[in-house]
Amino acid sequence: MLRPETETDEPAAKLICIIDHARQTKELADKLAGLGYATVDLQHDMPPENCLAVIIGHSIDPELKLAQVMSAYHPVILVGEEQGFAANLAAVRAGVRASLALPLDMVELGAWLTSLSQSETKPYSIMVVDDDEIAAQTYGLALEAAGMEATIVTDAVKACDEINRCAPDLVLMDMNMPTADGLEVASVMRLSRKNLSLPIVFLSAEKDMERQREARKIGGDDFISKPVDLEGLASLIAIRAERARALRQVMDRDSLTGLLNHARFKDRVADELGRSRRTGSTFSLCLLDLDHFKRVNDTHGHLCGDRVLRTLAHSLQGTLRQTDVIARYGGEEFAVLLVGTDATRAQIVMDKVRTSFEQLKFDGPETSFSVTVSVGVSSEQMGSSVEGLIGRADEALYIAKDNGRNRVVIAPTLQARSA
Amino acid sequence: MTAKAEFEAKMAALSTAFSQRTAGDAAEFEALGVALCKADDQAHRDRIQYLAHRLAGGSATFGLVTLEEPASHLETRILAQADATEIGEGSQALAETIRRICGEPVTQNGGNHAPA
Repeated sequence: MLRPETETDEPAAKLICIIDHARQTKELADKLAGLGYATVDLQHDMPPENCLAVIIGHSIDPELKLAQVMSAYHPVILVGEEQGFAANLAAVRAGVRASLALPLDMVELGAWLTSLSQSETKPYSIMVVDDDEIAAQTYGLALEAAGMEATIVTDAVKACDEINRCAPDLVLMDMNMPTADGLEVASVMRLSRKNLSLPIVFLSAEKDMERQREARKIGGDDFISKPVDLEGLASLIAIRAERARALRQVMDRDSLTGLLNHARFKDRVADELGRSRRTGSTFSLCLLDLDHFKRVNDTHGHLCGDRVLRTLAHSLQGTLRQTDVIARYGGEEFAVLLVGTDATRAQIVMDKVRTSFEQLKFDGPETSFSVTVSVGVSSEQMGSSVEGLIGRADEALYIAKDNGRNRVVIAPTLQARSA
Repeated sequence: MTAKAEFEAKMAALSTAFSQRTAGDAAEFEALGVALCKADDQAHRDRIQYLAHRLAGGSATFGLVTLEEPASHLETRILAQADATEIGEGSQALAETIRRICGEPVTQNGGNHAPA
């Protein structure tokens, strides 16, 4: 059994079991290693409990008997030549989760494995702001009974701090509170750029239509009138939260790789920097740049270049923990925030990504090729601002490039720099 | 305890808390109403409005549906700037209705929480 991960652990490799002929198993294991996964060649045993998926070669299990048994315990990915409707139907009946054609597409495989490791979607997080504690607890209870997580805030003045702390999907707020008017609290929330899209649903017994119009103006998304029908409340909030998450996915993510985008990454660094100042927590910031990427695009075409970018994204997702933050910083540059990890450990983790990624073989239109990556690392004590920390990581990245690329470099200390 | 039973137990506890708080509010509606009949005071109006708003919003959720309409009516009259005597008397009448529905607030000696 692998130990459960904590923030300070190095990421434990996610485990994939393979059942196939020896040569295919070896090829697949190499590809999976490049994507950051550990593999077990499973010939006679049952897969260990912590295995993320079982990949079965169709030719070794043509009747899908193994697939049938394994799929009761783990997600099964079937790999083989047969991809017709009849073959896929048989696979579905055997409980197979994904069916991939040969030769194996690394981007597709990476995407499946990433989605499997993220399949435990977090419940919607709802912040309830109401000065009336009994009412707030009641709404919270109704939301929790419907599978959501509720954070109760009875002091409206603290609402904004709480948003930063618990990053809710939606705020449910009483419009009429004596310490601070709901409209004013919502306006204060909207002062922060990252809260511009945060949905706010007002609970209102307001008879005043003018106030409702005002609330719409500052981005109140909906009204629930009091007295509240608790079942209706839970279903409306769940629908709103689902939509908010889907929209945020579009706004916050890079469309090619699905990773966080540049702006949201900086927000996350700012949050982590704030947390570090308050609690003394450690984190590292890494900037990765694909070496000679222009040459990849020029030689093998942009489509091939895109596949390299997406593969690096999957490789980072495969190697790192769910708590780490991975972003496409721009072009061929990626950024990673490793929580609870100092620069020395970050260097080890990133070196693992670097060495696995360089093993991967990409198929170009004419030849196959591999790509290396250079990484610069800074950590929280190296700067007092987001820009400062990114600047230091960038500086280290330049050093890595200058020293021959395909390496991970920690930003020099200020003393070393001035010496 | 099943999830459903746990939910119902927690809801019942919150209902009891709401009912007890409302019973306790009766004395405040009464005192503020009496004071407002003697002399108009904005702070008293604000407090009655807050209590009435809170009661109107929660009473139906907690099964005290008969309190919703009078509480909501009192709030509307305050918003409409009705005169102090009307609001004062309305507040005292609401106190009376609450006592009828919720009984006296539970005291440390046990008190009486059964409807009158």
